Amino acid sequence: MNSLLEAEHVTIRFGRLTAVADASLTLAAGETLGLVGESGSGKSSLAKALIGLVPVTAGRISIEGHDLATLDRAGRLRLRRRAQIVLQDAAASLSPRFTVARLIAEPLRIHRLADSGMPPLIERLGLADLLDRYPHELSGGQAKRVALARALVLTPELLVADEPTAGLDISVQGEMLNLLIGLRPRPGLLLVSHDLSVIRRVSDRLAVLYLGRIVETGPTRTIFNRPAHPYAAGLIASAPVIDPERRQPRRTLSGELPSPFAPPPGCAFHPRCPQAQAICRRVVPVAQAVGEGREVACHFPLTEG
Amino acid sequence: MSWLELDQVSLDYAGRSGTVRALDRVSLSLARGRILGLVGESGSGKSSLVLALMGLLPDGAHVTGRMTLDGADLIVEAPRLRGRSLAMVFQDPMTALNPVFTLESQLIDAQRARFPGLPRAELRARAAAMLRRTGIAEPDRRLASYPHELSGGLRQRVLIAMALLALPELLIADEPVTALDVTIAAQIMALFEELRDGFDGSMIFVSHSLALVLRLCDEVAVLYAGTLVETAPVAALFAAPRHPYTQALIACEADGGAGALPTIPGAVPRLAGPADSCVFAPRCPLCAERCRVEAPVLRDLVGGRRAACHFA
Repeated sequence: MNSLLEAEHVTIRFGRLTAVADASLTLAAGETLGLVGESGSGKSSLAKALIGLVPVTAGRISIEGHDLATLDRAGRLRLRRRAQIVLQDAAASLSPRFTVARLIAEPLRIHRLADSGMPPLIERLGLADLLDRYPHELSGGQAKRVALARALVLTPELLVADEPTAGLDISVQGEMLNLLIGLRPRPGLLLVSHDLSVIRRVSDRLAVLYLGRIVETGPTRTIFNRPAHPYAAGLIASAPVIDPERRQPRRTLSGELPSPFAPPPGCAFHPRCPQAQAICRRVVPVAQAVGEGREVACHFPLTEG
Repeated sequence: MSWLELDQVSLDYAGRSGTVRALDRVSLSLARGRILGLVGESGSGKSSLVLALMGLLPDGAHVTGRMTLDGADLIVEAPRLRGRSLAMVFQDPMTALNPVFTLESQLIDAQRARFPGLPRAELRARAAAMLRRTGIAEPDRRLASYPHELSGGLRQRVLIAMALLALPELLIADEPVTALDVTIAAQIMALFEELRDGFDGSMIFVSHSLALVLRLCDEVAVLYAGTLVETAPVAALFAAPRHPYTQALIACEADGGAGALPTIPGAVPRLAGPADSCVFAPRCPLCAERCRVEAPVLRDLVGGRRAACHFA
């Protein structure tokens, strides 16, 4: 096994809410995996669980072969060095009482590491002029870069970025994504986003979530070109793209997102699915390989064309 | 004079550390029945502009210039026209409805200004019919609901229905799908496209997404740091943007290639007053000496388009 990260049949419950059900995925060293879904899909819960920030109810998560559930205190500290996260609300994740310089140095202090890597990192992320500032003096894009610097200063093997571009203007989004694409050495990157154009651009592989379940995984390009799950197809068709000929098909998914507190029985997507049949209302589909490194959890996956 | 006309509209907010110029001499016109896409990033002044049109600016805001709708001076008359010729759909459907009243009572109240004489039963029937038109099933049952019983997508449909019930001549939609999930946003965009054909007023569709503007609008106006930098018919703008900022914005959003993503270096400037240089100069790849000493005026180009750039 040479996976950096491995999740097997992970279920996450908060009280009577099942945020994630039976999710399995892997991430190889240096690979970028995109986790995409709408509200209530469980993508943030899963992302946090994958680096041990949220306890799993069932299933197993391991990083570099170490089962997160069996780590002792020292093991957890070592894990924190190797697996880092940039939270969605980056500005709120920064202590308001620390300057940028102190914020970036703090992880090194905790892990008792030398700060020789700090100056080049500060240079690369364009933070040199901001070192004396406090978080409230930063723009949204700057706060995201500081949060990224705090994660990268430990040179993690695994980096989770939860909605790294959400809330940023389009002209600044590219800057953030270029930083993530350009990381050397490349960490294993788990990119959580609701924005398909971001995921498409940055990730090698893709996992599409719907109401707590992974409905399709596979190479990003393959899924975008020929989605096999009807939800993945609807999601991709719904994303706005600049299309001067106005040829974009007006195909949209009907219906609302059901409440994750009361997901529909059988396949959770069946009430919105254009090709749902009787079995879909009763039986939860299990993920099946459909070739080209893809897995689809659907009784009637879309075929060619 | 056009049906909707803005002539040299400036907007200043008084603050503790001096005034901030949110809009600088914006001139714009829109014919009846047309849909204008108003595009810009945060701080561009697009929300300030539509709030000024609606007469909803906070205290401390000072508007100069002229804004007229069908000859009526909006600076004076907007409060009287709201709920009649002027209606607006706001960005966040979760907070735009009053949580303590049913949809029925809110949708009836929204029609009082337009139809003061109509009996309640008739207003209720209009409300139910409009809910149906905006894609809400079982509208009679829905009217008894409170806002918290509705999803975000349904609430936005209710707010669109509420705005249309006033039979507005100018409908303003401020980022109406930004707060919604991707598949729900696509549904609401489809609803706007559907309603477009049966609506004989004009619409201003505010968005940071060029893709959405391209889909729905006839014309586009691009705002940058409170300045109108380019206006054009929608197809012409996308085929050949004339202002470097518009070009960069389209490149950022349209990107589908590999390698590094296009960005616009630098940040949106903070505005303190009328500029004596081009507002985009610090970030512009074409910036020359002239751009730093002389603000370009928005000038007419061929094809019914305008751009504020010395090199356009």
